[in-house]
Amino acid sequence: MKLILLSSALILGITGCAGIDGFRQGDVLVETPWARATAGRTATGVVYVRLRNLGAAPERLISIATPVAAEAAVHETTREQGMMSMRRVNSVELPADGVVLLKPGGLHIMLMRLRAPLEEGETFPMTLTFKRAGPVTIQVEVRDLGAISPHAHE
Amino acid sequence: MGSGARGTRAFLVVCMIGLAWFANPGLATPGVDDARGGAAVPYVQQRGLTFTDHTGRAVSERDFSGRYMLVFFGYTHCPDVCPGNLAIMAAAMRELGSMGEFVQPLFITFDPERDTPEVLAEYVPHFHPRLMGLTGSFEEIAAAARSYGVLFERNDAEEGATASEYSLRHTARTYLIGPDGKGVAIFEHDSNAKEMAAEILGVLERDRVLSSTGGL
Repeated sequence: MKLILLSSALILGITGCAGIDGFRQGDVLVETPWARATAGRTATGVVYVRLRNLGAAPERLISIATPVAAEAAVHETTREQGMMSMRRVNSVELPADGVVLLKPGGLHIMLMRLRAPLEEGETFPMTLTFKRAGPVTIQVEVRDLGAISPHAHE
Repeated sequence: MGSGARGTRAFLVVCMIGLAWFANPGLATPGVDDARGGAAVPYVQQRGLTFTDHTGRAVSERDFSGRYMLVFFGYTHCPDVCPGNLAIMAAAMRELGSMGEFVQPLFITFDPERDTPEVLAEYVPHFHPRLMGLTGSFEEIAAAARSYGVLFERNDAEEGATASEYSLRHTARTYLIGPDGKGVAIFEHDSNAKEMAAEILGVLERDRVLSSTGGL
């Protein structure tokens, strides 16, 4: 019994490490993608992710698609005269050997016209297309509506 | 204690600024909006506004007198800013531990059209078990928002979306209101939860010191 518990802990541990934390395509690494669960009839969702360019040349995120929403695009939360507002960002530049963080209150991926509510615990695919590296399909983990970060204990 | 008296005087000045600010209908004064640290704290009038909470119960502003309130205005269809700030508020409440019992966290929607008590009931428990969601008539919510200096404005629905999928532009501050209904502190959008908790704790400690020595 002890052995079974130990081995299942080991398997869970391994799955956790090799899980859905990073997705690589060419010189682009897409890390810790997560979405907020949506409540009720909300038709808009949000995805946060870390984009890492491991290459020596600048890279550019040019389009996003996911089967869970009619449209996905990068938006930026901005403050104008004290009011929070969002504007669409047509492409995101990744400097050579640089990192761009899409996080709450800043740059984020908006999911428009969701086909179904996003439920905590589920994952869904999303394809990010980069100018040089091409498309990379990632798995986005849906976290609780009250989450702030991709990690459970922050 | 001298620092207590200084603190009270500073607080009174802040209240007067708040009153002046409140009296001015042009609330979007850039100087006020851009101020940090010394931002004007609103004076919240006890004018008996009534709301409906997320359980369907009628509540009045007066029901909260004698208690601290931590208040955020937003709407449940808000994808990024509102859940982010509510999550920070909830983290600050957890940080406060047992002292958090003196504070009632409140989420007031400025989108009553979509945010019914039922919708709020599905929403608020995700953040904190004691977070209370409030909705009501548009007029009363607008009056409450005005008293806090909260601004909101409806955007048109995006192309391809139905008319009910509109979003709102809005201020995104969190307000700490004292037992007398007056503003004590303002936390800007995307504040740090630990710092928020520390400031609230400082207020609770200061007020307890004042009451145990019989005030000034």
